[in-house]
Amino acid sequence: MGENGKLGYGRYRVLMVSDFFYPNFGGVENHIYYLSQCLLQRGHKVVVATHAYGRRSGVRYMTNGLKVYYIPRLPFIQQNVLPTLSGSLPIIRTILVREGITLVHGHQAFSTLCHESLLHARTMGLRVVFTDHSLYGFADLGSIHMNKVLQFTLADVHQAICVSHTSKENTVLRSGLNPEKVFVIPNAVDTAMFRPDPEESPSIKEEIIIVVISRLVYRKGADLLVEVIPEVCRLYPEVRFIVGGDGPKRVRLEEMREKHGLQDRVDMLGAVPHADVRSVLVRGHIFLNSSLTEAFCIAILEAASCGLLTVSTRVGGVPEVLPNDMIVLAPPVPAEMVVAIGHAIQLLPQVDPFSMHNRMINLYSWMDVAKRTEVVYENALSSEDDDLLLRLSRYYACGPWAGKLFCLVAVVNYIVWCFLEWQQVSSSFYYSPLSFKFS
Amino acid sequence: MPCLGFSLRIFRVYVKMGATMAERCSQFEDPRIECTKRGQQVGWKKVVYGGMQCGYADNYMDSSFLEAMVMNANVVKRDTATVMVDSVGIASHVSVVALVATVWTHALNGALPASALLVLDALVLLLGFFALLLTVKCVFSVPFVVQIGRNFTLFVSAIYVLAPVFQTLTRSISSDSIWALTVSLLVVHLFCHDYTFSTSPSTMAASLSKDFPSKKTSKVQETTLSANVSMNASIVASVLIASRLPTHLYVFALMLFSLEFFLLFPLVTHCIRQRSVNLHLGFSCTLIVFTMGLIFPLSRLAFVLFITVIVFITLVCPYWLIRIQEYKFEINGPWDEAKLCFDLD
Repeated sequence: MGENGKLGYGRYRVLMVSDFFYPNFGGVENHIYYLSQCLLQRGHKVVVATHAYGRRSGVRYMTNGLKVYYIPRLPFIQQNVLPTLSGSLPIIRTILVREGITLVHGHQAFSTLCHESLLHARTMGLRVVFTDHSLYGFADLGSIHMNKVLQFTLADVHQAICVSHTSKENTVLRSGLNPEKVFVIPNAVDTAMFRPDPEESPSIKEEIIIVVISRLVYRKGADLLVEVIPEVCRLYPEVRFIVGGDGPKRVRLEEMREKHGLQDRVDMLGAVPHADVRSVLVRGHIFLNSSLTEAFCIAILEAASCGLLTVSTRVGGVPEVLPNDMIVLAPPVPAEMVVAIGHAIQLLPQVDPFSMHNRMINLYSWMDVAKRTEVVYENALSSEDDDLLLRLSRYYACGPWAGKLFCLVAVVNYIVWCFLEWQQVSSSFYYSPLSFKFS
Repeated sequence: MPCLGFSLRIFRVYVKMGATMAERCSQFEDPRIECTKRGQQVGWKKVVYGGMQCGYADNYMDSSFLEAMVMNANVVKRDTATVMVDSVGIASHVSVVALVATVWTHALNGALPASALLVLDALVLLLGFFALLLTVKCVFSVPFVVQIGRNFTLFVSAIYVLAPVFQTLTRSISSDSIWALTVSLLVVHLFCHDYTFSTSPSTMAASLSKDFPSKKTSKVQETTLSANVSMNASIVASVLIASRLPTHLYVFALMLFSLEFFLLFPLVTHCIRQRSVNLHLGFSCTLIVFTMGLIFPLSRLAFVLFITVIVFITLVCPYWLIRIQEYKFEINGPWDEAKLCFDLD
């Protein structure tokens, strides 16, 4: 802590690492970008590392001098690079030493680059923070393996961040991490971009428009939509739907539209680019989210920031996201969802988009997220340093077979690092300048 | 040029000022101190909006942490006796396969003449038919008997017509390959077989007779992929062995015998089980003992192997299952993906 309440201004040199970053659009990507921008504004040094996207490889600079390393590794499956354990150590080590990084912040449990970079950072004695963005199950084969990998990474992490309390419980159960080490810091929304515009939407006395924007997949509850939309259209003749998004379930929605003759009442927009999401949202009065599982739903925040009343399924971390007067929750059962939509329609006259938007400015801001993340960084940096033997003892405790395997992986990684140190000593690297100001 | 640079600098200053004002000059403040200015909050709430909650760190948990977690909600409690009784069903099927293999060996050695085999086929068929008669609780009418007779005639005549084809099917394949293939196919058949059919209580018997068109089964038993694979494996194994025999009457007799046991026998077991569990138990034990008696004169090694397998299935496996059931740890909670309560069409 500095003087005058300045919290660690300009103290940290952070590497954000994940397989998911721009030019991909999604929750994790946005989170990393906005968090990095806010930390840069607070004077810290932030560098992002991700894998190459097509021909976008090498070093790029984004807004405000955010340096992004597009490591030349090709995505292997679902946007992740091929896991090579110590194979990525040389390049990650080069990045860490050149930029003078003190703390590595990995995002998303499903990212292989993140897990590997956190391992390398620990081998090199740096501080490590991990953020988990999704909920996972326990029972199927994929989840069991993913959870074991997560247990390996989190056995040795200094602090962890989850985006909601439900996500914290899920992460703690999956990885066996001490709950005291897990901080709950939510995502936020760019309220400057998502502003309401009542001119765009018709008056609620004439028509009520319900907007749905999501990927049309099973996980996002597209099947619930197929059951709910015809029923709502039948009960409330003034309601129209706008459905944005694409996916395997789009065919079912088109069929539903034809079967009930709702072509004039349900607009299917197809895939909506992220830049156009706001223009679609402001055309509506109610936002409908039918996901079957969500750790934290940023779409709801964007809708609330545009002044829409939200109707959502009560799953995962959704009940924690908005106050009760801005959201109507229902179990993921079609009949109950129809009742909830009816309730929301009754509440609509009392909803003022601009006051909702102003409330959202106070409830969520990326700068607040950055400040709370700094508190986590401070905790991570002030925890005591661990040598290899202490780390190995923690890995060993992970399980009768897995513990030994993890120790082996950690030792091999250490040996490779020692070899790299001998081959090219860290002090002989060319260091990048500490910060890059455009002024 | 200089005025351009100057105006650019002024512009940047304004942008910076605007940004600072938008943040309400709180850019450098500690969120832990900042929240005291926002007013007092009553207690900690399990929500994530509104920034850091005053007086509580972000890693604070109260007693509601993991409160909604439910452990082992869907786990079936098992007791050793029930599991052992159910495992007898598996053991009886293994002994059926051993029985069929024994008859195959005798036929291939030439110890069983074709006529004897035909008589055996007819005997087994009649026995099976009587077993069905005794155990299925439905009224027998003429259309029902006619339908069964029609199905049976089709079945037998199809095998008789195809017998010459089977006879020359594997003439160019060496015997070693045949034995190896047959053994692997039988192993696949045993592993993939649908044992739940013969042990689960269902109204499948009602679908046997078409006299009850209005009675719909409450739960339709769908055949899974592995059940189909196992049936096909057993049929192919029968064809391979039958094709080794000299005359096509012999081939027909052996094929009929094998298919009776592989295709029709599970149905009989199922109906017996439906009727009474004790009857099923007695029937299975008799079958196992009978098979043991058949194998003993044939080969001592096979006999010992068979006994080991039966003991393993009926005694060791149930005990093992009960032991490891203690380690079952099923976790459910609000983080689970919701299940749809309706069927997708």
